Amino acid sequence: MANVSVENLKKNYGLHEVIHGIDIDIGDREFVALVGPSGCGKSTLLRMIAGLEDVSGGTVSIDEEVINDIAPRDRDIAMVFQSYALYPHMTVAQNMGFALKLAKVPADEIDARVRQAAATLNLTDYLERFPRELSGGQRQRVAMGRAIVRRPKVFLFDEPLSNLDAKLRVRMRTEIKSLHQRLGATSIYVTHDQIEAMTMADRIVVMRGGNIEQIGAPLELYDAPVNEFVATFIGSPAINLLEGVIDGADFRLPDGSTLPLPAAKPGDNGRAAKYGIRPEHFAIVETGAMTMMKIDVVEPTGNETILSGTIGGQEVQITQQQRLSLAPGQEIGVSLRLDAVHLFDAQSGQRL
Amino acid sequence: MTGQSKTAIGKTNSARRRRKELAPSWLALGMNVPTLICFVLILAYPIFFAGYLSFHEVGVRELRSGDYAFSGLANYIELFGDPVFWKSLRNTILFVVVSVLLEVVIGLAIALVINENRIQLSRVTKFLILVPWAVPPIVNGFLWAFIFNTQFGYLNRLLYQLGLIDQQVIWLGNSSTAFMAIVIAYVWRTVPFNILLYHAALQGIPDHLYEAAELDRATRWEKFRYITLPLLRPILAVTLILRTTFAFMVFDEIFAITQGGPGNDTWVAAWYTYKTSFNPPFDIGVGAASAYVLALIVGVVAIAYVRYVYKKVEY
Amino acid sequence: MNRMSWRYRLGMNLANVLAICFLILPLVPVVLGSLQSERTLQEDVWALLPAEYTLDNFRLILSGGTNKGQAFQGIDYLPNSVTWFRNAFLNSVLVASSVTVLTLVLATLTALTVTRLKLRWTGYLMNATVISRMVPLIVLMLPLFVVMRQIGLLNTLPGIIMAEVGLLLPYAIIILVPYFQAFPKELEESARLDGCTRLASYLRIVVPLSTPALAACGVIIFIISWHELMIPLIIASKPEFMTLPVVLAGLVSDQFVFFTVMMAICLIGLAPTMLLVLLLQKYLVKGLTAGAVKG
Repeated sequence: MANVSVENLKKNYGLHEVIHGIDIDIGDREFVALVGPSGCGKSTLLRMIAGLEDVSGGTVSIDEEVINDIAPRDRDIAMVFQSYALYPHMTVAQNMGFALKLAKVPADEIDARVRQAAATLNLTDYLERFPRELSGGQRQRVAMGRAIVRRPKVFLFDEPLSNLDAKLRVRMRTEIKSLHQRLGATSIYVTHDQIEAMTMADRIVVMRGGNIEQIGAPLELYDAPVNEFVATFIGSPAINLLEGVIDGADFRLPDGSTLPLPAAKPGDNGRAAKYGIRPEHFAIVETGAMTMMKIDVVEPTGNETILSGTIGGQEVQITQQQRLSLAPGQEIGVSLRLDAVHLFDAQSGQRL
Repeated sequence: MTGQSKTAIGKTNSARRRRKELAPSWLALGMNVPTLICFVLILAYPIFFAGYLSFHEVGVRELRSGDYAFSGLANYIELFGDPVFWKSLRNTILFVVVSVLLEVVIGLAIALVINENRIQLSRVTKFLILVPWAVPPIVNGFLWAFIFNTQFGYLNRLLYQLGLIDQQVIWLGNSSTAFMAIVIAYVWRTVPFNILLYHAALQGIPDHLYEAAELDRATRWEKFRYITLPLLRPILAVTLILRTTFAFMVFDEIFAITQGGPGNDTWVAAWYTYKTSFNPPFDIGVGAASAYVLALIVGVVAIAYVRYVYKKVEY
Repeated sequence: MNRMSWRYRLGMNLANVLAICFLILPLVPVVLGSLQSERTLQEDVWALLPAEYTLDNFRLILSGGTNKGQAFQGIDYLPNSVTWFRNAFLNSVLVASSVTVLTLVLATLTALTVTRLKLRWTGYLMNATVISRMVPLIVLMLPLFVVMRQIGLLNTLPGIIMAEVGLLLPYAIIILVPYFQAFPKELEESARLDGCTRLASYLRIVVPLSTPALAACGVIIFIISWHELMIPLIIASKPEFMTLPVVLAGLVSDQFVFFTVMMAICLIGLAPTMLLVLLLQKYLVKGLTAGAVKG
């Protein structure tokens, strides 16, 4: 196993720079997810670690050894691709044993290791089949198996679950996580799905436009986003952001109504800001309401109810753990959990 | 890992020397060396050398001695002063225009016929579209020479049996019918290529466009006129240009059917070059000059093709 | 679109019959001509079907002129095409096979670099390829004749093979490029992470998975080489180095005397490629279409 570190890493295509000098340190046995909207550079970063893209500046190292110029085949890295990239002309067993064969591992050992990996992944019955004879989920497992038989220093995953249907995706999520817990291999996982990142990773790297916005444990990002982008990217339904101005101990919305602030910072008085609060941090109250919400749409999901509406003319969504019989157009009083309120600067989006 | 012996692939790997990967540009160069040699020796160099020859005196004597005297524009002056050259050029252009038009029209017609897959017979036709392409051009020439032969040819036999003629028609002895015979022979061999392209393009037109037009109460002709034809425009452009450049090079059919005859009425550019260079008086210098004129004409078409059509058509 | 009127159905069937006639009718005289003797052909100049059928033409050709049968009893002069037929057939097989193998290897290497490596200069190389496909062959033949004469490649099979490889290489590249282009790059990348060099990933993954394309391209090259007249005509003037089309071309001065023999030679000459085309129709259509648009 190994630790991976990336220092001041840059990538440009011609004059166009797509990754602007980023640093990440990934510890041994750690599971790190790279998330961000498409085009944020997460896949490029992963491919640079794999050696499939040239490094334009900075370094990639494994176990303190700089590997910038080492061929992908000598990096001892396994990768699971979004399309699985199974070799169509090889059986499942041949697919899984290909890397070992190239490394000139004796045939009986290849066989033993392939069988062991197949047993781990419930693929034993399919070893002699060709990829085209397998279902999507099985193909995904073969791709995983191909990676684990190699016992590489690092596992890379490039959106491995996005070609599966929703149900299977949830199951494979759990399986990958338990596999990681058993094997304990250093893993880097690229996804655009923040739920996958939240549920699987030890740490999450949120990227945007070739920069890192924040690195941290999943709940750290959820509870203390450093800026508006991270706050909206993590969590579903998304965090509510209300525009207004800090006015002493209150947050004044454009229509004149106010929301209470957790702790006023004197220097921030009069600053234009965004008032962020997650949907579950609202409570519907009969008395002592901090503000009024006008209901537009009520969406019961079974375990919770999502209410969409407006506060001070601005759109908000709140979730409630109980079943509610509310009608559109109704006004309800709500209170907010003040310790869960985040304030972001209106211009820079940075947390205040 | 899972508690098993620790002979991970990593161990063998670290024993293996860690190599820097060969840069893509070097790899590409290495893989292209044979092709580049081939291109330089058999394409690029000859093109320049042909230019060189066209400015030099090259005949039988010079070929033997190996030194070619510089003759300036003499070859070109001789060439442009030769009425047969102009006649060949005129014939070539007439040939190109007529045969390319026929190729396109016949090719499109047959492509439309085989595109109607609900008719059983279309499958037979589809199976046979490559038949003319499989015939070697020189065989194709002889085959049509036999058909058009005055005394024993099958065209005269057929027309007689149909009661359309009562004496033998001299097809190849008359310049206009001889020209027509060459066009027919050439077009027959090259139509398959056009059918293929149009068929592929027709297959690429999604059915729902026709279904939508159906709902708009379009007639069959209107569907062809407003859906099929506009969507075929790119491929029509491709074939027009491509077939034009190929028709400029027609040689085998001339060789087999008329040998340029009667007289020199069916001489074309490639035939002119061949006759001047490889038949008495073996004037390779003038031949090279005429080849260069042909190459320039085709070159303009080719560059236009790469710049305006090749890059834009996606298949 | 679901129901066809009987008039449409009839019209389409008629159109199909016309198309089929167009495609195969011109071949009928070849068959009829080759199956009769010169005497039968000349006796009745109006008959469509010969009064008498014979295989003597084929016997004569396949025996290289020794087995004259009934039809050629007492005829002393035989065209070169008859005496050299077997030799020319062998030459054609040799030339076409060598050209196919060489062209395929070079074209595969180049098409791989154009599609998988995507460098700026390989893009230029591709443009040059497309343009060179349109260079009139006669332009190349003059200088090649002069050069090959100097280095002693005139009247050799290697000379013919080299010139044909040069002529067909651009076409083969143009046919293969779209296939390799459509090939998912993840497969190649996965192989590289599994321990292959770039080149090995092409040879172990891309090439084996492209066998249908390579086969189609190979057959197309074989057929075009089999058909090629001008190159061997100019390079080979001695009968022992002539390929089938050249030997056939020699008939041009004898055709009025030996129509039926000529048709028999034509039939044998077109048979191999016709068989390939009919057997592999589906693959060839794909290959030709791929190479056609872009070449």
